[in-house]
Amino acid sequence: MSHSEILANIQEKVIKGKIKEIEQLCLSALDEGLSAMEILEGGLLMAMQRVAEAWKNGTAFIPEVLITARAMNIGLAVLEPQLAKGERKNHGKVVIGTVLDDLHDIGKNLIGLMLKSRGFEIVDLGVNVKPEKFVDAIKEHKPQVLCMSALLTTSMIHFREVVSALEENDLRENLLICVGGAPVTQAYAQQVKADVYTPDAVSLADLLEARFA
Amino acid sequence: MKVKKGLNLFEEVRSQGALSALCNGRGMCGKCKVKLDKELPLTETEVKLLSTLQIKENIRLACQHPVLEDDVNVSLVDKENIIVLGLDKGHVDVKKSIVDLLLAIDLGTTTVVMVLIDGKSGEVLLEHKFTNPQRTYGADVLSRIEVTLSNNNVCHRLIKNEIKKNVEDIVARFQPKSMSIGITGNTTMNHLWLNANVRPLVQIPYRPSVIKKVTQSIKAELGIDVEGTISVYPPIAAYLGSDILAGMSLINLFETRDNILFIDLGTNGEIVLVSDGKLYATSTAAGPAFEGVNMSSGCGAINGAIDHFFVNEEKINFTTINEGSPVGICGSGYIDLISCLLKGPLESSGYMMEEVILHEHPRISITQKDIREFQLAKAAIRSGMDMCLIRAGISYDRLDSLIIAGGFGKHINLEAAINIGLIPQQCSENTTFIGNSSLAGCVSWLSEEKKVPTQWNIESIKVIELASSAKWLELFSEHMLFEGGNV
Repeated sequence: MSHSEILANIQEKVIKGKIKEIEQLCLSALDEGLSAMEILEGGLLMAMQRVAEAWKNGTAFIPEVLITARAMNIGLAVLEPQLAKGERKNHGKVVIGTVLDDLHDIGKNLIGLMLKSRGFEIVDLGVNVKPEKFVDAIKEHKPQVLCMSALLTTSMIHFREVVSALEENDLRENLLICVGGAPVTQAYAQQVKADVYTPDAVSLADLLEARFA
Repeated sequence: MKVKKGLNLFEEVRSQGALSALCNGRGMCGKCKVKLDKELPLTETEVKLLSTLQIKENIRLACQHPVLEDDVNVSLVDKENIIVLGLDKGHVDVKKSIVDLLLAIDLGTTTVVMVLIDGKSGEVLLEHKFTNPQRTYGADVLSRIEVTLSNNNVCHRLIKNEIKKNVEDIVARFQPKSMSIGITGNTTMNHLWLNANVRPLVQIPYRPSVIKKVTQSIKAELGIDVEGTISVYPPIAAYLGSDILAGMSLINLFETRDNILFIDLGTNGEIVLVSDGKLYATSTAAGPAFEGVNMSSGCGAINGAIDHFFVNEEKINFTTINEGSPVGICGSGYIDLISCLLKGPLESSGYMMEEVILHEHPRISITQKDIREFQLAKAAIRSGMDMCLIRAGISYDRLDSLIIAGGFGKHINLEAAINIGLIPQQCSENTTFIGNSSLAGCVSWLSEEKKVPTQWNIESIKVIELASSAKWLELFSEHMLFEGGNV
């Protein structure tokens, strides 16, 4: 098999969630002389990219995204020790979290997955995150981007509080604030003084990649 | 019905309570089909969601016409016809009953089922099943709560009117002097019936507003002149209702020494584990796929619904409920179908090259999107089961029994359910299906055959929150695959 065939095969197996084979395929790809970086980018991340693209176009659905992400992470664990330090691309740091009064995390996790697969470093604050905790995390990690998610009309009101708290702490200026979630709209994002709203995780990843890569 | 120029077609038809609108009018589900007596301009959404034939026949989506340009005459399409199924006609022990009639009602998010029992003889007089009229405000509890929070108690009124109509019919027909009504259902349905505050159900820490049994007078509540009360049974938690509590009571989970896993497969899948005398419970948003909702050829357990598929001479064959001519596929049918397809075009990842057509006129088929919808439901239930076992620190081998309830629960093919990874292999010998345990439990409380669990009983149940658990997401992803994965 040529190198490109090996990578195509890894992509297929990742998309199908064949985790037992992925481990073996990654190891034999290394034996065939492919670098860990080539396998990561051309195999694992490319698989994620393909599914993400299809998801955005409405031809793939959440089950495929989760299946692919799980398989990608298993492959990544195999490659990680082989990846030279600093070799992986890093477009910047993104802090993500679901706002106070909201325990929904699938949307937020999908954002994390998409951005991670595009070469961003993710700091995940989890769900039900208080405004103070967002402020502390921005102080500590100094990210380029903050992404907040809300799935309820009763919780999305907290976006505004976080933005205000960041303004009060002089942390707003060099920070790109993105908001999303089922009840959120472009108009609402503007109202709470966020910088970016996208209807789905993939569009956000596209936008951030274009901006920071 | 007639709708005048300038009015909102969706709101007008929906105010009659007869419209299916799973997405709550956002132009996504394509279910709010209406037939009009004249041609209305098409929107892009309609072009996407309607067939050419439907468009020709002046079928439109009501939600796409917020301001009518002309007066129209509207008739409904897609009206579901549900028959009584899943309850065994028979006899109930009513030794302790002192009323003429007992009426048990299970308020489901998707369907409402009721059974009427003679308080003196114990004979089952009547069974009735209908679509919850609130469904016009969305398929899941969250959309009903959102509507209610916007200062609109329409969901409360819709269900109350529908139940009132049914009780009036019963009273006119059987002329009882006294009657006992019992209501079980998920916590949202309970709160909407009582017109109780639903806000705490969507706000952390997610607590119900009502935690005790509420007793109402039939006269005061429904304005019907019969002696007696309505018992609205207590929920366990915000997403664990009196429906699962009734089931627990019915199968004696509060007393057992065995390790039992008990699942109620509904729109909200509720799961209870009793292990070494300790109770664990969780609920998981399975969605309505198991009830045949949101599936392209899906239907409820109605006449003509395909309930079983099997492969014979390399061809897929099927049977329908009451041998009616096929109208669609119900939940148990989908479990069989997916199991059959795994031997052919369907990969364990859920990938399927193309739509599989199973019947023509009407066309009944399964699409890639249906499979994905089903994967979400299956993964939600199975990952919830796993989480209960993990919390209790036991494996599936240690279970003495697995009990599965649900409106269609009596008809699942166990082998198929194991094959697709919904039920673990270890449970192949000790799994039983008990049908609608919420309703049966409600009957047992009404007839006082069983006692309603005490506050102390209810508080002893450890509620497991799935959403905030990283382990759960891992299992949820794993169980997307149609493989027999095990803890």
